[in-house]
Amino acid sequence: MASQAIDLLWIGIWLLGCITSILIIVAIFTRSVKKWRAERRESRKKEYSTILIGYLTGNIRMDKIEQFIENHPDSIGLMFELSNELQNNLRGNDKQKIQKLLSLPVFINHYIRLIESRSDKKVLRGLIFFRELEWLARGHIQKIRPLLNHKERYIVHAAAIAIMASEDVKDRAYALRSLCRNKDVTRLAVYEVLYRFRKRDKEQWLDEGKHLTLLITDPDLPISHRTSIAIAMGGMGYYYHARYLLDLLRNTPLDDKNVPFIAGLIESLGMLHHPETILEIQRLLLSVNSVLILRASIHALAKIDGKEGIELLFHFLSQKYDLQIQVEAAIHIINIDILAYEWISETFIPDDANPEIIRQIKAEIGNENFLAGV
Amino acid sequence: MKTNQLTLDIGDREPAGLPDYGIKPVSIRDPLILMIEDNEILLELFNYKFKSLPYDFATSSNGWEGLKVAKTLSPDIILLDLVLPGLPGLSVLKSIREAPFEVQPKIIILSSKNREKDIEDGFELGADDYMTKPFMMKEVLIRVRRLLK
Amino acid sequence: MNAIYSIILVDLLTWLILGYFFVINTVYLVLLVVSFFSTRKLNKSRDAYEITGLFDSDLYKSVSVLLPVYNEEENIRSTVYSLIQLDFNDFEIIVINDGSTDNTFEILQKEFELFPSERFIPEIVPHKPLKGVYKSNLFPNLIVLDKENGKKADALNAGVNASRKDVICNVDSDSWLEPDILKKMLRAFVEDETSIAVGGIVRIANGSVFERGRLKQILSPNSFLGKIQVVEYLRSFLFGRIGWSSVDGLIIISGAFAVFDRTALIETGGYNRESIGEDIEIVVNMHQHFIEKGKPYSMCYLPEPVCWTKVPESWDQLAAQRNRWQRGLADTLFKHKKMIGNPNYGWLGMFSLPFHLFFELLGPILELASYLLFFTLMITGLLNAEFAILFILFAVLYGLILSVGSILLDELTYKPHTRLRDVFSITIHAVFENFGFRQLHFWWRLRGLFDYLRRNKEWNIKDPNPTLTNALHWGWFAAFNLFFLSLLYYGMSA
Repeated sequence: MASQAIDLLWIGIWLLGCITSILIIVAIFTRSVKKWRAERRESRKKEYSTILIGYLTGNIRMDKIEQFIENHPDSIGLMFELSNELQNNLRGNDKQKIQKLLSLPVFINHYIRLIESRSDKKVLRGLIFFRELEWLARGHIQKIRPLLNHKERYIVHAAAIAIMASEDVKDRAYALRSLCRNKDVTRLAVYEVLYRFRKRDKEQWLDEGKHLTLLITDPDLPISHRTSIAIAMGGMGYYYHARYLLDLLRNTPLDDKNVPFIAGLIESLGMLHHPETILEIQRLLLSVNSVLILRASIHALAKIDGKEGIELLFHFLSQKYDLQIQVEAAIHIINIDILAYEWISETFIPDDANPEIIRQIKAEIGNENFLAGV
Repeated sequence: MKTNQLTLDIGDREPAGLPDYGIKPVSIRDPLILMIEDNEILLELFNYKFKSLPYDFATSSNGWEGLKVAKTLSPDIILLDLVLPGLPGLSVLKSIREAPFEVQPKIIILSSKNREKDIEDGFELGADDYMTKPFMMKEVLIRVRRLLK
Repeated sequence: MNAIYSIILVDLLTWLILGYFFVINTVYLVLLVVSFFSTRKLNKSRDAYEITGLFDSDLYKSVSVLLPVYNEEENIRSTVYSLIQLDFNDFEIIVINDGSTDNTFEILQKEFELFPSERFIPEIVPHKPLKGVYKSNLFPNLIVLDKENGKKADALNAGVNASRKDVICNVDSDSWLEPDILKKMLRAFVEDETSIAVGGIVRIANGSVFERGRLKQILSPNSFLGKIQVVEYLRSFLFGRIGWSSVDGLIIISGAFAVFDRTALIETGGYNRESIGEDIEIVVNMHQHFIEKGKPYSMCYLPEPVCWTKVPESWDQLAAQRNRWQRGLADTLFKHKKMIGNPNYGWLGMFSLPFHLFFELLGPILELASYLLFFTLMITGLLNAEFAILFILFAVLYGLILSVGSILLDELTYKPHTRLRDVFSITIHAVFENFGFRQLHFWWRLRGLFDYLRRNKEWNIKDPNPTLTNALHWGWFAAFNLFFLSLLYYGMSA
């Protein structure tokens, strides 16, 4: 028995020893590879920067660079990164020159091949190219669109962003909808896409707003994403559709699962400065005690900034609300600053307000010097 | 047992190991431009541009280091980014304005921060000019030349 | 008759100890594998994010960095400067001077040109009264609170009240943060909106070179204790905590660096001023609160963000620290005893807390039993020397796999250490820690446990002569190794 146990132990020891050595070897190997890669990247960065600067200053012709890339196909990624950095920082002629370089077929063909490949990593790299270079993406929306059905959410996200370059509202709305249907997509991702949704062309705004309102009420989308879209509509200033959001606020039943949505609508309306929101908030205050809605109301009232709004904002200083809510209101009153300063001595302060908070508000207003609020 | 003391010197000492920029003495040199900026390729681009003109050019990619370099070399013009590792650009600006220079350097802020508030703060703290990214190379050169007059 | 009983007892004990050894190491191994996979998954998502450049957007939450200080006149300037250098859009630094008796406050005042401010500080969570609130003339986002002395939790609570941002990040005064740490930590909050607490990797700063609050060169500590702690920390963070957090059983986020959602923190009543280890207490408390309220929440540990902290390199300081940790664990487990083994608290109550109770807290007792058994068997001559030695070797190798595994994880997740020879020396120390250090460590923990049971809440038992304690510890260390070597010799010759 004893000898058997000892044999077993020997085997175990050998086994563990082998595993340990393998782990050590793998560790050292990964380390060296990582280091080698980092060093190579650094040296190449230097080399390519010189080439690009030479091109910008007119010492190197474009076809020379094209040739260089054709001869060194692995340089393309870094070349793109560096030129992209330059074109983001430059304006005017210099920028056009870089853009002309990036429009070379060497680049486009390479990146189209990437988005058509099977490896997730490559597809993502390809999408980044089109995401960064809007004017190129515009011509290849058809190639990007199928990726909206990809199983990896990061790719759907990147594809949606790239499609935001399109001039056609329908393309953009479709991409946004595909993204939002995915429950796993984060709110941040949705916002990221939404911020690119709006175009400079004012004539499109009505159409864009219409598509967004359709998405807000689309029962196929998770309510969290619908909330994000509602808030973003306020943030992007779709004033024409404020009326619609207000109606939605009136008609949405007040049950638990709708609370974040209602809070979102209030935030959004606040950003749109719609004065009727004040009435709605007054109505909601009679029946609601959700912190989410109360906070949204405070934010909205501070933004709307009318006399009635400020008056209602002071109402939140009442001690019947949580201390947190009182504080939130106080901070927003402080931020309204001069206006509130004139009004603070007047009758707005509720009778049951916390005297300490009132004292501090009075003390702090107009007291922040040196870049207050940076 | 020896306990290892972590030493973090924060820049009060005289810069000992600064790279040698090959800058000539103030009396005979060309106008010296110092660029404090963390984007490598922009630094290279400006380096190339200014070196081909009758200017001397020094760079720094870190707020602290930039401040030190400015104090040692007393450049004529500083091109200052606002978002910097080390020390925020506005604090660099403020410290330079409070430092005893023989001739205060002219400072051009060159930043991607383009909100009204940023520009206001920049000028309030004593910047001579404020340019936002993206910028035109030529415009930067023109503004530098104008400030040197 | 007696002999039979004693043989049965010895057998029983042997099996108990072998079982303990088996269970604890298997759990660790599983955690290592789990954290390996979760690290890979996180790396993948990180790749996607870094390329898409999401971090440039303004959608990040804002952060208040809280730095409680007590008599830190040496470190304070550099620590604050390292915080000012953080690369983040919207953050403020709140330094809480917890009634220092030295010049800490004067140094702050002079260095950062503080001026009194009427900042609005509501009393949301309890703390000792404030003496003053100051803002800096140089750095607009630097706020200094001057308050009466309390404990660390008390100071942190003052900071929580003063904060006006979404997220609280607490930092130790002898820690240095990597500049991009906030961006990386906050990613966890934007990726998962139910996040309430996020921890990051803490590494040992001793020996590395810092310049102007920035890390210049990563070197391993010079001292034996320092090197041993490097392996310890790698294990404890890279697979311990990440592993636990991927199975939802995280109970500690290191006090050196932790990020909490401010609202969640306030909801749970802030930091507990009565607890010994506020960093364990706050996490378990949050678990309890959110599970009882039935709110969805998540806590996670990211394998990447890095905080560098100074660890004690002398035996007596280390002993005191480990003693305090053990008492903190005991205190928290005792305060939340109704969660232990309670199926209402899910995986945490059924597995993580019991594991911490039996293996982390009470482990030293079993270890004591095993040593006693070992000696009894040896004295009575019942010990099969060959078996014993092979078993010890086996155990050491098993432990080594965990250490080397975490070194590998480290290589996969973090930028390469500057020197290959540090990796080797750390690996070698991972072997040597088993002989001597481990036994001492178990002794410190045992003492911590007993100190707690005697309700010895404050650690005031300052040794009159640290040199003497250090000499004693070194003596123990040498004696143990001599003993082990002779055993080895005896076993090999047998």
